[in-house]
Amino acid sequence: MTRHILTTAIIAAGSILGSGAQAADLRINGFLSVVGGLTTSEGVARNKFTGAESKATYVADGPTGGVYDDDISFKPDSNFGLQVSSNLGDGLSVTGQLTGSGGEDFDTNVAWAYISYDLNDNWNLQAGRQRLPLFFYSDFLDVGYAYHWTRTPQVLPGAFSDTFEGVKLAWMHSSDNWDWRASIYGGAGDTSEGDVGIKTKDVLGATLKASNDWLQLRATYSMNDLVIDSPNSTFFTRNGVAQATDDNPLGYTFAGIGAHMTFDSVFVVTEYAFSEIEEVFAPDNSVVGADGTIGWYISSGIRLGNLTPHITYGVSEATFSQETPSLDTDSENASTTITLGVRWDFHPSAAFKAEFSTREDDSDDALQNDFGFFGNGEQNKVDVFTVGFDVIF
Amino acid sequence: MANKILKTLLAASLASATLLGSVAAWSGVAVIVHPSNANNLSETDISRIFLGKKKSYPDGSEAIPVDQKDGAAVRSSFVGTVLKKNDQQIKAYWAQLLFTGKGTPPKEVGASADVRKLIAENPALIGYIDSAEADGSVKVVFQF
Repeated sequence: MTRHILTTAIIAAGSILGSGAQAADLRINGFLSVVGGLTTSEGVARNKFTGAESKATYVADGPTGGVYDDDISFKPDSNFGLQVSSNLGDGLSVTGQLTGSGGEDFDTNVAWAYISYDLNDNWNLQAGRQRLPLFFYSDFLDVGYAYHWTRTPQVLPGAFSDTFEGVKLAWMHSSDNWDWRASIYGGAGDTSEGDVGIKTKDVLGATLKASNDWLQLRATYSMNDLVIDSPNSTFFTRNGVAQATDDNPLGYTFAGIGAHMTFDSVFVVTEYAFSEIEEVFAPDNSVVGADGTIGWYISSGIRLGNLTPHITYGVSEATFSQETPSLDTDSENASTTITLGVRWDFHPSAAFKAEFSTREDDSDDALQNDFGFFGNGEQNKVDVFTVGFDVIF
Repeated sequence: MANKILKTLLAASLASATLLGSVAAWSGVAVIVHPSNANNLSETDISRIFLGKKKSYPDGSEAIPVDQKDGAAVRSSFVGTVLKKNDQQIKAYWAQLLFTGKGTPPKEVGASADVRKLIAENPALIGYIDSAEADGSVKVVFQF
């Protein structure tokens, strides 16, 4: 799994390692996913502004714009990462990780760049650029080899930015059969979507994880303030005060719980997440506020030698408050997704995966049928099929 | 005559079966530390050290686990019995930690003899070897 630079030198150094002397150690690791897929059945998606209709698409990787349509594509789920880390001894290490996603034409980003310091056996401090730990699988979302799916369930509500720059303090403790890990973090981040720049200020959060032989439990809470820099629109409060600005940022909160269970060769993983963004209005005071978005899934698989067939059921629900001079109503945008797949570990460091997802649109009629601003069509209804490889090295 | 040939064949196949058997069978796996390491280690302690959850022995001194080469029978046996994972699960486990800054897998240092030699020279190390390879230069703390 790992490849050392100057293996021989390190083995030689190994004999003095830990006996007070510091063995400098450079480690290079990486991961790569090559996935191809297409949608096989699509609902009707309506343009909110023009009413023009098109086929619904499947967003496989929101943050990087990886989207499947009915033409086969190898980009949405394909990605790579290269990590270089060095152990400087006495609990100090530095790590940098470059990642690239097909949705962004494999432009490289620095996903992680941090200094890690073990204060002692129980406390660790990380400073630098890190993943925002929202989901059970957030930390290693990019590393397909580390989980059974081709992509983690898309039903959970995400944040605007998946990384932040700041510090994270972690506490680890072992008692009897349980291992505990708690962390708190704080910092800031920024991202952009097209010509819209999004800053996340005052990122603050905590995660708690407890695990034993067969059970892992996780709870998390995160919040930040959003500043949106868009050339086309400005956001206002109900009272007409400009919002999502440096002076008056938009509040965002996220909470999630998850559990992973292993029973011999069968595993079950389930997760529930809730996110809410402060209510905003368009300049004409006509519309828009997502009152809250919830998502949950349950997934199970069985390891049969090198084969792991699995099934996942997931639900996503977002409530929008719509307000115009003549209308004040709530509508729900909802979908149900069933995913069937198989992972085949054909090589010690590589897995082949085939996966089929079918998603139904359970949105309110107002969101499904009406034309004009509220009519989205059956934009959630879509089937997608993918095959691919995940490799780590 | 035919009977005699049959007997010879049977005997030969029995002999080769015995031979194969003795080659395939190995005495078991021994978890070893430096002779000066006085810690009493339970299976859970060993598992925690090898999964990166503990970085020290019960007496507070630094613990550094070493792995055998990927694919070694002793390694698969150790991972399956003590860490309660199969070869693919342990890889996925370390991939999760490695790419998120939560830990790095133990160093790989070759086969049983290499592990024993390193451990005999360093009080911080802990490893596992084929029991038949254990000798006075190291201390066996757990065996299965």
